[in-house]
Amino acid sequence: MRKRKWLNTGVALLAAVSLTLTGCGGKENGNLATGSASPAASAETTPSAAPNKDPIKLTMWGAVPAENGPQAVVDNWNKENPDIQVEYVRFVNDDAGNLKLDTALMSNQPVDMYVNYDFSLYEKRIKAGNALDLSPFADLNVDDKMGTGAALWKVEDKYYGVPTSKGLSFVWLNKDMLDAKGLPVPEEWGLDEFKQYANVLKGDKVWGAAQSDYYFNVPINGSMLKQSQYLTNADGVSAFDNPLTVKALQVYSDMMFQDKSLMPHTEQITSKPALDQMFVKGETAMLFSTQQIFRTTNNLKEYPRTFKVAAAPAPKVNKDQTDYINAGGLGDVLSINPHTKNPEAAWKFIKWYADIGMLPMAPGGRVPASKDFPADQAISLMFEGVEDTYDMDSIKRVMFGNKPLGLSRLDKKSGSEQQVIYDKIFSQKLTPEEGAKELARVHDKNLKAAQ
Amino acid sequence: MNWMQRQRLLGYVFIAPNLIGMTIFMLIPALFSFYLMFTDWVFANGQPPQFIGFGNFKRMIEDDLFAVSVRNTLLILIPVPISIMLGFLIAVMLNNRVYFQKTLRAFFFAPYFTSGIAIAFVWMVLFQPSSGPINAFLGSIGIADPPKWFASPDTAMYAVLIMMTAGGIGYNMIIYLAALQEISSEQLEAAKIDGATFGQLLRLIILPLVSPTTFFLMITGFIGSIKGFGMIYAITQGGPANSTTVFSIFAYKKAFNFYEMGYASAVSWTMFLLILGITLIQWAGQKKWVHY
Repeated sequence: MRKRKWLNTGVALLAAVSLTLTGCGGKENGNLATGSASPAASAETTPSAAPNKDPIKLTMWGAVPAENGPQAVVDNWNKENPDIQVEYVRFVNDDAGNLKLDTALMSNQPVDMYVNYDFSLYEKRIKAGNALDLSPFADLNVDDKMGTGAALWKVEDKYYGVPTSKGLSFVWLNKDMLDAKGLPVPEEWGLDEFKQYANVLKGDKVWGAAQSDYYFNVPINGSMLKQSQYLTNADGVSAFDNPLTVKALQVYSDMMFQDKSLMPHTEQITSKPALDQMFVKGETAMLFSTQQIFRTTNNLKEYPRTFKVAAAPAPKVNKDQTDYINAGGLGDVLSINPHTKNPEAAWKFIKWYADIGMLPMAPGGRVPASKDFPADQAISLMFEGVEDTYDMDSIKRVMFGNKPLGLSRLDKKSGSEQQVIYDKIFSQKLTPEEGAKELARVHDKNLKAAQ
Repeated sequence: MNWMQRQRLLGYVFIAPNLIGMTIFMLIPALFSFYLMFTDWVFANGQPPQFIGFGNFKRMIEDDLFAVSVRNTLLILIPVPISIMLGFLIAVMLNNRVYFQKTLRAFFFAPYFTSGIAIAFVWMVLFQPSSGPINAFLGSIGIADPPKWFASPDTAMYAVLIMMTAGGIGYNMIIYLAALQEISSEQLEAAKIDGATFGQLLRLIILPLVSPTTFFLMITGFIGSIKGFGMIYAITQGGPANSTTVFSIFAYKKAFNFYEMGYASAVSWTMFLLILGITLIQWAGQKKWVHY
C-alpha cells in the first residue's frame, strides 16, 4: 500500500515538474510582454558588436519566400560580415503567420529583426514592447533618407522600424489584348473607364478584370485618405457614407452582375483562384493587385507567357478627382526586437539592407525606398532577361512616377467587419446606398469603442 | 518490489509519455483557458489579464455573430443522423453478397482516410457556381439559375451540410460493417425460418443489435460536428457574410485574428458546455433505445 502511494506521488511529482516548467515559461513570457520598448536598457547591457571569435548570430523574420531574394540578401551580408551572421526565417503574411511571429516575439524565440507589412500589427507590436525605439540610433535620419512617406510609420513621433521599400497597388494589363481591341494603355482613369475596358476586353473564358480579394476598398479608401488617414470626417465620424463610396460599390456590382466582366466577389473568395496565374495564362485581361505579381510575371520558366505586360495606375472613383490618394507608400518596415542581445549589430544590418542590401529583392518587385539606393541598378535587376516582355514605358510611369501615395490607418476590427458588409453588397443583400451606410456604421462603432 | 508492484510500475511507465503529453498540451491549456474566460486578456498587447467576471459571457449574449454561430452549429448537427442512416444502409448492402464488395467498401471509406482539406477542395470545385460540374449538370437539365452554393450567404450553409453528410458516411459504414459481422447468423437464420421479411429482420433484429454502435456514432458524430472546423474554414473561412460561421470558427477568429484570448476562451467553454449538454441528453435517452 505504501509502495503504491509512492508510485502515485511519483506521478504527481512528474506532473508538478511539467507544470513548473511550463509556469517558468509563462513567467518569462509575462516579463517579455511587458518589456520596455526603450533600447537604452538593453543597449547598456548588450555586448558590443566588436570583432569576436564567435560571430554574432542574428535571425531576421520576413514574409518574402527565401528564394525570392531574402536568401541572396543574407548570403551577401554573411560573405561581407563574417563577424555578424544573419539567418532568414520566413513567415507567411497572413493571420496565422503573424500570430507565429507574435508568439515567437513573446516567447523569447530567436527573433532579432522582423519585417512589418501592416500598420495595425506594427502598432500593436510597439504597444506590446516588441519593437525597439530607434531614436537613439542617431546615425540614420529616416525622414531624410526615405522621404516624406516614411512619417506614416511614426508612432508618437518615433520610429520603431525603418520603412525600406516603396509599394503600390496598380492595374496589370495584358497589352496584347488591349492592342487587339484598339485600347490605349490608360495613364489616368476612373472606375467608369475601368468598367468600360473590362467590358470590351472580356471574352470566352476570359474575364475583363480580376482583382485581389476586397480590393474594392482601394478606390473607396483612397477617396477619403487625404482628409484623414483614419478615414474620418473633420468631426471625427466615419467618412465611409459618401457618394463616391456608393458609386464605387455600384460600378463593381454592375461589373459582376450586369457586364459579367469581373468574377463575382463571393465566388472568388470561396473558389480561391490564383489570380497571378490567371493573369499570365490569359484568363483575365487586367489584374488589379500589387507589385508582388512580379514574382510570377518575371518567372517565365514556370509561368510562360507570350504577351507583353503593361501597367496602369489604380483607377480613381472619378477620373477627374483631384484629392485622390493612391494606395501604397513606404512599407517593408524592418524592426528590431528589444530583447535581442545584439541591437547594434541588428542596426548595422538594417542600415546596410536599406542602403544597398535589398538589391536582390528587386526581381520580386521590391522598389527600394532609400534615396541613396542605386535605383537604376534595381530597375535593371528587376527586369533582367525579361525586358522585352514588358511595356517598359507604362511600367516605369506607374511604378516610378510621382502619384500621391498613402496608407490608411483603418483599425483591423473595422476592416474585418467591413469585409462582411462587402460580402453582403456583392451578394446583392444590400444596395450600394445601404452598404455605404453599413460601412460607416461599423466604423463609427469601433471608433467609439476605441475612445 | 514484488511482481504485482513491478506490473503497476510498468503500467505507469507505459502511460507516462501520454500522460505528460496530455498534461502539457491539453490539460494545462484547458485549465489556462478556463481562467482566461473570466479575463479580458488580449494576446501580445503587453497587458496582463484583467479579471472581468462574467463580462465575456455578457458580451457573447450581445454579440450578433454569436447568435449566428449558435444557429449554424445546431444546423451542422443535421448531417450526423443522416450520415449514420446512410452509412448503415450501405453497410447492410455491403454485408450481403454484392458484386465488387471490396471495391465498393474502399470507395465509400476513401473519404475517411483522405485529408479533410483535400476533400473540402474537391467539394469547392464541384460546387463552383460558374464552372463546377454540379451547376453544369443542373444547367443541362434546364435549371436556369442554379444555386451559388458556397458563394452565396443563402446557400453556403446547405453546401456545408451536404459536404459534411457525405464526409461522415464512410466512417459510419465501416463501424456498422464491423457491428454487422458480430451479429450471430443463427439469430438471423432462425428469424428467416420463422418467416421474417427483410424489413422485419432489419427493424426487429439488426437495428436493435447494432444500437450500441448507433449510440456510439451519435455521440462521436455530434461531438465531431460541433467541433467541426477544418473543412468549413478551408473553403469559406466562415463566410460569405458570416453565413457559415460556427462556434469553432467564431472562437478561432476571436483568438487568432484579433488575439482576444479571454473572449475566445469563453466561447470555447460555451462550446464545451453545449457538447456536454447534448451528450448528457443522449446518454439519458439511450436507456429507451440502446440494447446491450
